[in-house]
Amino acid sequence: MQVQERLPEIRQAGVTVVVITQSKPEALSAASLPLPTVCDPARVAYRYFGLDRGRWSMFFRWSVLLRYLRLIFTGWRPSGWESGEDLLQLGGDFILSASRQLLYAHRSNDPADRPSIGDIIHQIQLLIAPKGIES
Amino acid sequence: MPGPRVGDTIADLSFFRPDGSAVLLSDYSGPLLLIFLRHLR
Repeated sequence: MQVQERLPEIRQAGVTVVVITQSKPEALSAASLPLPTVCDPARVAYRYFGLDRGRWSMFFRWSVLLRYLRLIFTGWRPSGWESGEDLLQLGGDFILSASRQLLYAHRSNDPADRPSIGDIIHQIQLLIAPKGIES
Repeated sequence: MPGPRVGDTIADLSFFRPDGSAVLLSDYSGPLLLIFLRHLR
């Protein structure tokens, strides 16, 4: 997702973005992070939100191979995994209200299965800021 | 574990900042967009 480019629209709706990684804090402090990022090295929150572990075979799906090819063409290069990271852990995206009610949930089925930032902003428009932002 | 459903209230989970200090979901105000990454890099 190109969240960074659309961050002003998200903030305009009063929404705070929090990126969560399974890395350890020392890995975060050494990385250059464009968005506010916290870590959950024990993956307690990953489990709490129902984020599954995939299987090795998921990396050989066409959609996943195409996603990684696209990333490579845009300049991304595999740079290895941080110590302690679970390679099979899947991600997800969640919108919470100010009262911490779950408004939207997307749990990835494989590494290519992520909503676009346009989809996320559309959900924010619907759920939080009906008149606030343009997608 | 299926995880919470839309409409459920989310527990006050704890995370670590890059400096190693703890932060709770309740430390943030207003609506949140939580993005769980598969990996850092």
